[in-house]
Order: sequence, then structure tokens, then C-alpha cells
Amino acid sequence: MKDNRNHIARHYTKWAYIFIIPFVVAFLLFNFYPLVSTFYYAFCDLKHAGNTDPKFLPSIGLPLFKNFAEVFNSTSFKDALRNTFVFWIGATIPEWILAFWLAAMVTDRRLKIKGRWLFKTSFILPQLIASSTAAGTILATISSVIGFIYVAAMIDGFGYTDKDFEFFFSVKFLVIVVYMFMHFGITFIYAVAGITGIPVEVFEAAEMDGADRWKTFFHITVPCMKPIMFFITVISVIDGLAMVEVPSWFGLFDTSRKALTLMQYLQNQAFMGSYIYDRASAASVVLLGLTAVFAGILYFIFLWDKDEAKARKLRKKELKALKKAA
Amino acid sequence: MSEIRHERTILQQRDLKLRIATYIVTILITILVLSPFIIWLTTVGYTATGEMTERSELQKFIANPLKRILRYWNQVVAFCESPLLISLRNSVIVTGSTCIGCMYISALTAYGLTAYEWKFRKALSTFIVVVMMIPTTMSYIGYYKMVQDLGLINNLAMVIFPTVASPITVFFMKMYLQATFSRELVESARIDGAGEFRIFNKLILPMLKPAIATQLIFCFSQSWYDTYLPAILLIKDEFRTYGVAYSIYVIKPMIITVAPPIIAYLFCAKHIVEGVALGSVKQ
Repeated sequence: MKDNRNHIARHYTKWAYIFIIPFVVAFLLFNFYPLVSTFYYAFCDLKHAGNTDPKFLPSIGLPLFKNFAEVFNSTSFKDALRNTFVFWIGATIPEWILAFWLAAMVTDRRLKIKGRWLFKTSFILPQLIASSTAAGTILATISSVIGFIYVAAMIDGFGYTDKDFEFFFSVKFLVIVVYMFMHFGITFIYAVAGITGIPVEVFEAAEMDGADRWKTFFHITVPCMKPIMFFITVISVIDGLAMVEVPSWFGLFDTSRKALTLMQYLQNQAFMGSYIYDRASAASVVLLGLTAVFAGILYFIFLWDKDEAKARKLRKKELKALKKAA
Repeated sequence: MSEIRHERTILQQRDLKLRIATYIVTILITILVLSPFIIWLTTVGYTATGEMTERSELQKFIANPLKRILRYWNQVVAFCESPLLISLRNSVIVTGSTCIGCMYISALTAYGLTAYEWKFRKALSTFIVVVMMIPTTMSYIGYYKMVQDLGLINNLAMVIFPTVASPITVFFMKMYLQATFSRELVESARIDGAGEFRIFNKLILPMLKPAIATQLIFCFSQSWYDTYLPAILLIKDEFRTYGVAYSIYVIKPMIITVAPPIIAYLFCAKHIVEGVALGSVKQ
């Protein structure tokens, strides 16, 4: 009987291959192959618009890592690297605190907060109206609020001078605020999806045992929503490292390029006027390396099974012992 | 007894405080979100065409509604005559195909990874988890060169293809499908004589509706506002997408820019994922 069943299952496996073909083909052709060729261009000489003839660097007598050296020596790359991390970390921490707090509150059984759809809609709206004009007006609101506080402080004194507020007028601060604002809805929606997926009985049991909200959140909610936490973190890393839209909206106000991010640097080098494809490819590879580091960290946080690793080690030891005995 | 009651009232008070705090924060954020519209309605300043106005949009509308509506109509007519209309058509094509293609292919892949036992299943799952952490924008230099070599610059399809295969969408759908999938249902459908594609279209796609809705919103808004790839691949005027053309022309009807993603959201909002225990990360 079981054999028969296996036979039937095998009969259907060909459909699995048919189903995954479109994705695999599209991904390999339009994402993976370009990625590999970008990696190759990083070791090539490829400049000027319309140049379709990459020359491998050693073949024309130049050092292999010339592009990388150029990238690491340019000050704007260092600025971009620092900015990307400042923006990403600066925006992600408050965003997560706010998003997870609100998600925990909205889904709390005891609080019975109504109108969850309204919350969702209003939080996702910045993502939906992400055009530069809309963002510009959001900016205007934020800066007018800051300006109001600033003026109030100036009139009343409070012992502050305009130097103390300089940071709040800088492009960097505004990029962080707007990025956080744009990205907040995504985290919120996934966090709500994750929390509502946890069975109610678990929360009830915690309540019976007298756990307060703080403990419930950190010891029950977070561990129970591990898959979705992984997803949220990955999205945060991708969007943070590839941040390009929000800083580019500040192009008008940011003439000295104080808010340059890695992706913008890449775009400027390759497409916006410079056409230095080889250096941009090298920058891409550096970015890829950074992503790999973060991927490794995420893997160890979310996917590394301690017990499984231990079990595997034990099994290996046993096998070795068996071999020795034999 | 009274002590217990006292404790309970303290707890209730704390709940009330938390509830009020939640509402206040939410209302503040909502106001900030709606501020573009509020500002557009109430500020005195420049109009879209660049002239100074003395009264705000709202005041003007109240003063003479008919005239205002005619003016909006004129703006719409001007919009239809401008090259923006063509770019809007391009954007609709690009965003529409991206969304439909990405959702269908991702759902197919997720189903193939969940429902069948085959040799490279685990390998492909791991591959997806690994590559989904690479931002798509990173491969654009290689992609640009590839398109240039093929001579396919100014081709809308070239903007659509790289966004169709999105590992992160596949990952999310797989996570969702693992939680809701039942092998018995598929097997009974097979016994009833349904083909595999039919099972997928009639059974699995409706099952995946919440996951599709959630991903569709982000896919749509990302594709609609994307300016990176269209800007480098579509150079001729008649192939520009709306997001790119928007920054070039003077006539900028904000409502046409923001309407499509909002409409897409309103269609999807009902189905956004909720209350399903999502499956495990591995496999």
C-alpha cells in the first residue's frame, strides 16, 4: 500500500518541476546572471556610456583590485557607508519600538482596542503615497513642527542656543524621520499578522500565571513569532541597505551630499552622469559582502538550531567511535 | 475582598491609560500621514501651476464650487493632452504585469515547494532564503549591460522581468501555505479527476488570497513609484513610466499619482494576513 502511494507521489513530482520553472528561469536569467556579471565587471575596465567591451584588468596590465582600491579611497564612498548605517540603525530602532508596541497594544485581548483596519490603513498610507510631492509635504509638516519648537525655545530661552538644534535641521535627521515614517507601516502589518497567529490559549495561560505585559511580550510573543520576526528583519536589512528613494528626495536641499547612501553612490557612479561602471560594480560587490555578513548574523540568530547542531556533533562522535571499534 | 477589588480597579486604570496612550499615538500618526492632503487643502501659497494664491484650496472651493470643478476639469484635460498620459499608460502596463506575474509565479513556486516531495526541494528552499537577502538593485549594473548587449533598451518588458522573480515574495507565500495547506484536500481533488494546474488555480490560489493581498500592496506601490530601473532602461519620451516622467513635467496632478496604489490597497485591505500561525522558517 505504502509502495503504491510512493509511486503515485513520484508520478506527481514532475509537476513540482513544472511549477518552479518560471521562477527559476526568470530569477537565474534576470537577477542571478546580472549579479554574477556585476561581480565580473568589478575586476574589469569598463567606463564611458555605451561601452560594451569589458576588459579584464590583469589583461591590460593593471592591478586586479584597482576598482576596489578606488572605491575604498574615495571619501564619498566612506561617507555613503557611514550614512547608510546611521540612517538604517537610527530609523530601525525607533521604528521597531513604535511598531511592536502599537502592534502589541492593538492585538491585546484585555485592552479591546477597536478599529484595527483604520490603524492599518493610516500606517500604510505613507507607503502608498510615496511620491516626492507627498513626502515633501510630510517634510514640511515635520520641519514646521521642529521650527515651532525651535522658535519657542529661542523666545523663551530655556538656556538653549540655536547650536543645540542644529542636528534637528540637518538633512540626516530628516532622512531618518521620513524613512522611519515610510517604513513603519510594513513592520506594523507584519507584526500584527505575526501576533494574531499565536494561539490565544498561550496568552491566557500567561495571564493566569500572573505575567505582566512586558514579560508576556518578551517571553511569549517574540519567541512565538520567530518566523515572521525573521521576515521583518530581512525586509529591514534589504530596505535599509538599499535605501535610495528617501535620501534622493532631499537632492534639492542636500547640495553638499551629506545624506549620500551606498545605493545612491552606486547609482551616481554608474548611471547618473559618471558612467564608471567598473567602480560601481566594485561598490556593488562591497555591498554584497556587507549583505552576506548580515545574512550570516541573521542565520545564527533565527535559523541556527543549537540542539540540532549538538545532536549532529554527537552523531559524528558516535560514528567515529564505531569506526574505531570496527 | 475589598483588597482584590482595589487591585482590580488599579489594573483597570492602567488598562485605560494604555488604551488612551495607544489612541493618542495613533491619532498623531494619522494626522501626520494625512498632512499632505490637509496642507494641500488649507495652505495659502503656490498652486500646481506655479501662481500665487490668496486663499486656500478649501476656501476657494467653498466660495465658488462650480468654478473650481471646471478648473479641475481643465487640469484633467491638460493632463490628457500632455505626454504624461502616455507615461501613465506605460506605468499601468509595467505595474500591472509586474504584479500579476510576480504573484502568480511566486504562488506557483510556493506551491511546488510545499506540496510535492522532490529531490531538490530543500536545496531550492535554502537557495531562496539565501538570495532573498540580496537587494535586487545590486545586480542592476550587470542587468543594464546585459540589456544593452541585447539591444533591448527602451523596451517595457525589460523593466518587468527582473521584478517578476522575487524570492522574498516566494518565501512569504511558502510560509503562509505551510500553515494552511492540507494534503488531503489536494488528494481528494486528484481523485475527482482535477488536473494539477486546475487544482492550483481553483484550490490553492483562493487559499493563498491573504498572502497574495499582503504582498500585492507592497509590490504595487514599489513598482508604481520605482524610478531606478525605468530611468536607466527607458530613455525615449514615449517609453517613460509615470514615476520618472512625473519629475520632468510641470503639470503634476497629485491625485492621479497617488490614486492607483490607494485603490489597490482598498481592494486588498480586507484580505491582509491575520490570525494564521505562519509556518516554520526552515524548509
